[in-house]
Amino acid sequence: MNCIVLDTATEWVALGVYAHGKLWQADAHIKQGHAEYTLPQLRQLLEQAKLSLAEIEVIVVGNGPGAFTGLRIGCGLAQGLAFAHDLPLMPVSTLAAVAASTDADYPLVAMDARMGEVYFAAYQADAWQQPIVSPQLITPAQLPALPAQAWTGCGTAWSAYPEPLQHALQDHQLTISPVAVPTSAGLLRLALSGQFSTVSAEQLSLLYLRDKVALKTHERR
Amino acid sequence: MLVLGIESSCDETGVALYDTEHGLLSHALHTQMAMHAEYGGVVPELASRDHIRRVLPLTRECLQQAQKTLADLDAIAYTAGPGLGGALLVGSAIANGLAFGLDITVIAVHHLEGHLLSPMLADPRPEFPFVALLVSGGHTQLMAVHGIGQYETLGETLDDAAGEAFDKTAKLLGLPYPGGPALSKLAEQGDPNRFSLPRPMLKSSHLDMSFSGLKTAVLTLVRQQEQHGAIDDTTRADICRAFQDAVVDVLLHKSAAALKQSGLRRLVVAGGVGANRQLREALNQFAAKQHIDVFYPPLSLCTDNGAMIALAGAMRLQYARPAAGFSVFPRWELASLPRLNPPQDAA
Ligand SMILES: Nc1ncnc2c1ncn2[C@@H]1O[C@H](COP(=O)(O)OP(=O)(O)OP(=O)(O)O)[C@@H](O)[C@H]1O
Ligand SMILES: [Mg+2]
Repeated sequence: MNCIVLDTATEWVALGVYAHGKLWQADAHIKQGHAEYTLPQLRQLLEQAKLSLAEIEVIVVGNGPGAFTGLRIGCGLAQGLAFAHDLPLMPVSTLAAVAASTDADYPLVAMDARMGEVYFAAYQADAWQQPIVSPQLITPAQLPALPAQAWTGCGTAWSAYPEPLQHALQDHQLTISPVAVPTSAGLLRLALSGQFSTVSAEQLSLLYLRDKVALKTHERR
Repeated sequence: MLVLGIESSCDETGVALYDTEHGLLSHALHTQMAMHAEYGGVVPELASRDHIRRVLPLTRECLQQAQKTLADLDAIAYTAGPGLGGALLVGSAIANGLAFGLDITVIAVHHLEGHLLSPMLADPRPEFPFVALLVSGGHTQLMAVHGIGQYETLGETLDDAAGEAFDKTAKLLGLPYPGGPALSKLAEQGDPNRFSLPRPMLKSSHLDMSFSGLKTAVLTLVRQQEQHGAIDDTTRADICRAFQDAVVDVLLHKSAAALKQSGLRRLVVAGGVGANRQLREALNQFAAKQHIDVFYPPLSLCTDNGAMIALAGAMRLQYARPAAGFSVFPRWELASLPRLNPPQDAA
């Protein structure tokens, strides 16, 4: 399955081209530069892999949650690319992608969502579509109840909010992974799991989790 | 050459197809007005969230209307600024992704150049040079336009834009969002002789304008009237009329002065406030008397739309480049745009 993998919901761009069983990747920490970075790198990857867009079968795209603007850059690019060739998109959760970027059996994903909150999810590896805790927006001090497992913490929140998170998990076995963001290898692992279905470019929906972004007039009184 | 235009700078998603030979083939628009109304103004994050849902369905609609396919496209023009950063990025990302996929070029369009050139979507279309009165929600400028990218600012508002003044005054009068069109509708029933509001900078020799004082004057007038009890519909309409008379008067006088100062004989009006009927009537009357030709965009293309972006892109095909890394420009001076190179003679 030749595919492009892309996630732009963090300060990193996870970008790869998977062709003939090999992953060509250009993951990079670019902070705000997603728009400048992605297409030129994609062009290079396609050249390296000696692949034309017409030979791509699916575009795997992280659909959040994450930084809103960055997220939309990747999703917008993926929509345009897919629409051009009538290609299917395979939306995968950015949190699942972080989890799949570790080699942990029980990854516990916590991403810094700013404003004192985290995007949180818990997985059993390779059961990506049946998360133990589904992606949600919570404060680090109020983690949902978790079954007893040997958890591996991953994601940016473990360094952003170390105390409240570790405190909330003090009764659990916990190791912290250095993996903080999704990688192209993690995205590919999700895609190859066969657990995710595809949609058309127009059907792509984004997962923001933070839905209250402003007050309505009557709420401001 | 067939150009797809994508506009997403504020609260309207617009897509259009413009053919350099046959003109505008189709355009499709989704306005988010109803969504933002509950918030009393545009919420940038919600605007972006909506744009990304709309661009592709609107694109499909445009292609269908024009009976074209993606393979027929030669270039994609998109609004790169000025406007809301996050909203601009949505249209820019989809445009660049699509152009990359189709292996065609992109043109980053200046939103105000789109407005400025939009009268060229009407028939008859203006020839260069002309004076442009650009009156939108964010801008109020008079310019001498000698050609594409040859924009000389003659005067501009020193504070609020005319559209902004309409909207703020409407809000102050308790009119439903978005206020401009609502205020102007009420004004048509108002008595022009009951109240009189100041015309800021009308007599000054330069071409700059100011509209924020007018809003304050309305507030003072409202307070005065409220001393006789709650304001009734008649009084509200009369205040609207006085406000609109003042704005139209200023825009008319400054436009006339700009024509005189520049010696030009053509006036082009663009931007949302250009839809205002009273403004059009005043300008038309003046123009008929002075033998000036006035041009407006089609009424439906005064506010934001994809057609003006496709058109501006088509005019700037010589600046098209392959889809690649891109940036947006939330603030962007119109005067900084490069002029068009004269056509190269075939060797
Ligand atoms: N009939 C009308 N009379 C007066 N004002 C109007 C009328 N119709 C629209 N407007 C005003 O036009 C403005 C919208 O125009 P437009 O879409 O060109 O501006 P914008 O895109 O918000 O601003 P900009 O293009 O400067 O960034 C609003 O302020 C609106 O109130
Ligand atoms: Mg506009």
